Amino acid sequence: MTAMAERVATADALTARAAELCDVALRDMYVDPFWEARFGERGRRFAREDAHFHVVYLAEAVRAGSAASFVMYVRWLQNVLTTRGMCTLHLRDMLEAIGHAIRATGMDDVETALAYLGTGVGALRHDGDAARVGQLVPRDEGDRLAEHLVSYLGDAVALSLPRVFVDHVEWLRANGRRVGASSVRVEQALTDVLAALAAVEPSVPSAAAVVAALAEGA
Amino acid sequence: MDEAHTRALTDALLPRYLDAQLRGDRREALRLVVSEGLELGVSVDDLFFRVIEPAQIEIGDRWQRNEISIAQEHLATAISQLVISHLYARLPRAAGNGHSVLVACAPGEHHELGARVAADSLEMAGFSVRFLGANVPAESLAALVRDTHPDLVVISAATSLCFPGLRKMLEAIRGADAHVPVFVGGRAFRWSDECPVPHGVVHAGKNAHDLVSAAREALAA
Repeated sequence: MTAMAERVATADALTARAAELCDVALRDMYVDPFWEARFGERGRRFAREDAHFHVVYLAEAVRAGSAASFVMYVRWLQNVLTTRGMCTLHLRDMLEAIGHAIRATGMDDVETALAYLGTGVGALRHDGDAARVGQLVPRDEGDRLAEHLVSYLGDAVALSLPRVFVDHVEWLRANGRRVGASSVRVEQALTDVLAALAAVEPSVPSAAAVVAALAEGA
Repeated sequence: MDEAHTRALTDALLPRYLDAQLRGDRREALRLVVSEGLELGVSVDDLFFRVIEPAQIEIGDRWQRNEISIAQEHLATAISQLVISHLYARLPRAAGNGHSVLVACAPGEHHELGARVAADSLEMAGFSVRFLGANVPAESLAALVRDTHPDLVVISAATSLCFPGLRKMLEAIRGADAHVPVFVGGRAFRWSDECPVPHGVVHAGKNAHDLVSAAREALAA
């Protein structure tokens, strides 16, 4: 089989099995109670729809033999989602869940698709101040609470929209227990992230607006 | 009218047209384009590409940034549809070149404004155009190709999501006419120079001007 024929076959298979891939990806994601608690039934519906779009865009990129269109789509979507209450990390999580689903279904010749997914994930970055915020490392690696906070903070700085971060903090303070986080833990995670932020200031002066908005909201 | 004067008029019109769109003021948007554009000597082409198109791009960008709702985006786009319809009656048309073109949006493609402007641009250049609008079923377009024998078919797609439907449409067209040239265009092909163009068709270029040039070249018109 030529390389082009192989790509077309993979793209056809991805498109044909898109529903199954979405089912597997969402099932794995929703093991974490965060998703249901944070975004509810409406979020699940949109996540299903979005996952389908991700797979179709990926399939078309594979068919074309270039990750370019997928990367453009992912960057466009990052802007759409982060201005609507999601953070960049959520999008990365979903793309990675689709990658796991592709592997789990045992499809043939998926190396290109997985490589393009990786390229898309790699494109989910910010520049300038927001990039420096995004590199803040939570004290405990794998601490999702803190990772989400850092991601929302980076998006807020990138978009110059403090509300993006403040809204998530307010949600966490009101709903932390639903995702197994006591109010003490929420405040500790917030304190840690803000301390890490303070440590990189004044190289991130625009983050000060986000911190000020948070103080105002509190 | 010289370029500097045209530029000054269209630069002044753009923010006011955008503002009228965002307010949902159809009458003002139309008045601006006709009374302060067309009747002052601004060409339809310049109104398309220096006022209406950049306004629509800005509307799309504001939706992307969640600064306007889907309803507001639809409201604004409906205004541009209305304005373009009015301009159609006043299109300056070159002498007919004897070539016919079908312009349609791919199955599942609901954004028809770009295809409409492309159709009007072809008509201004002397082509005889049939414009089918948004979300055209593949077999239905193929039947029209079979019945009307166009010299060229142009299909628009704004996103890769439409590509599976686009491929079915291309197959159906080939079933109806093995030789008619088929051009594709639209935002889906502008995201990247490496965006896929289906086998056996021609990328019409990045805008309606490119399309008109490519059509003239392909048909020796």
